[in-house]
Amino acid sequence: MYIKNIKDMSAFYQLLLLLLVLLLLCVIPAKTSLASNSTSNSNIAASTAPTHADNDELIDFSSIKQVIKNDMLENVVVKKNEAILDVRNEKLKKKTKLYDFPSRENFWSLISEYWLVKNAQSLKWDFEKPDYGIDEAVKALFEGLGHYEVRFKLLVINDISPTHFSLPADSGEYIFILSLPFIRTMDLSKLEISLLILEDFYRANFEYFKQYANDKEIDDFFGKNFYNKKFDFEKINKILKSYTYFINEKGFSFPQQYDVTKKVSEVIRSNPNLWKTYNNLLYKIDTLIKNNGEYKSYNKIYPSPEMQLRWLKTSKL
Amino acid sequence: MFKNFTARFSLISMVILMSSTNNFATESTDTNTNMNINTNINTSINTKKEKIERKFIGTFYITKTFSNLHQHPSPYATSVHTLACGQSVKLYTTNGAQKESLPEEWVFAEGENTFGYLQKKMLSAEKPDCFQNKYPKFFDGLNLNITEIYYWGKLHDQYIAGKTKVK
Repeated sequence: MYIKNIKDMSAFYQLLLLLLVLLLLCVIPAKTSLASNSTSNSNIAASTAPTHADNDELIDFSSIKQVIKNDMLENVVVKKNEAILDVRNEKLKKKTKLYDFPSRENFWSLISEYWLVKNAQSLKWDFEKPDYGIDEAVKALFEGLGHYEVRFKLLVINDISPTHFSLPADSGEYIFILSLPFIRTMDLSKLEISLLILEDFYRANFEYFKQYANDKEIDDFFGKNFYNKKFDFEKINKILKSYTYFINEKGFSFPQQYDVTKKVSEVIRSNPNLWKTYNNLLYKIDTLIKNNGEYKSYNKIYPSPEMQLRWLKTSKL
Repeated sequence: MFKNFTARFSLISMVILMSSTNNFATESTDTNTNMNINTNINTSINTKKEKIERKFIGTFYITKTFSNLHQHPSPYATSVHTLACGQSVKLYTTNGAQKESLPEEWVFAEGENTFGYLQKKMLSAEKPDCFQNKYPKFFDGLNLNITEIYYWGKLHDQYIAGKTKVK
């Protein structure tokens, strides 16, 4: 058909233009849909792998069991299910491991430090102080008495109470507290301070405080796993409260003090300088608590310097 | 007529093509803008580093439950950040006058994009076996708040630690 006049021609070209526009509009969405299809195809490909994270359900082939049997694909089904079970078990194992409970050997240092952190304000250990060289003196004494591979952490506090204490710690580790006002008031030498810490060292070894602070209900959890078992963290708070009570109120008993004094005496008796210094230390403490009202509660925690001196003097130890 | 047709056709097709490619154009300009911002930040940090002239020594790990990065090489200086056991820190040498004044037991470090001073006793070249990693659910159960974490870092600053020799 021939286009006879100008009007027909323009109409024809307009129609052609419209068709071209429509074609362009169709092409662009088609390209984008092709791109999205390719990504979805790759997703499908990934999801068919039996080890995919979301696909941990065992595959149920019961509906096509006969087909699988005829095609001798039963082994493949079994292997696939075994692989899925292995992945599932591995995930469960990792999840369960998160719920490991500390062993008795590495529980106490954390709890003691937690108590120190929670009582930072009342203990007043966060203050600037010079290097007294106490660590070197303690090391020298301990090594002189044959105590090797002892790791200790000494925390000096800026309060009168507790005067000195050994907190429960992990195996081979010791955490000592020492009151700066206490040692300053008596003007203790480094050797006297070291002997005071030696006393606390033996108290820690006897585990008097650890036995008191331990919650028997926690014994069942030590070194085990509490996945699917409810562990009441209030027990930890209960232990922390027993720390505060023992350190500030209860203290040690006479028999416990006797054992500690006897132990120190056995170790230092052969060294006249140490023996004399230890007696001098106990005398200073006894004088302090009798003359200074701020330290009258010392006997409640460490009964009693006077008795310790008597035990030493009567040479019963 | 043809001129009109070609002009109109070319105009319309250009409009359609531009609208379809517009999204890609804006995305590319956005990324270009982002890259420009990033390079600007990097150059500004690098400029700061160049001014301080610190040389990277290596990557070390925090060994204590929590450790504080300090503003100055002193356990009593202001803490600028608290790091947990097992976290990595990058150590740098100090230059000129700073090197002379830096105490032997202190290092200059960067942890979690924060620069500060750390005590060497807090660090180890190998990743330690941390309590938090061995018993994560137990540690999480303590529900430590920020203040407690900060004080725990301070506690390790305040300790006078020692160890008697091996037999």
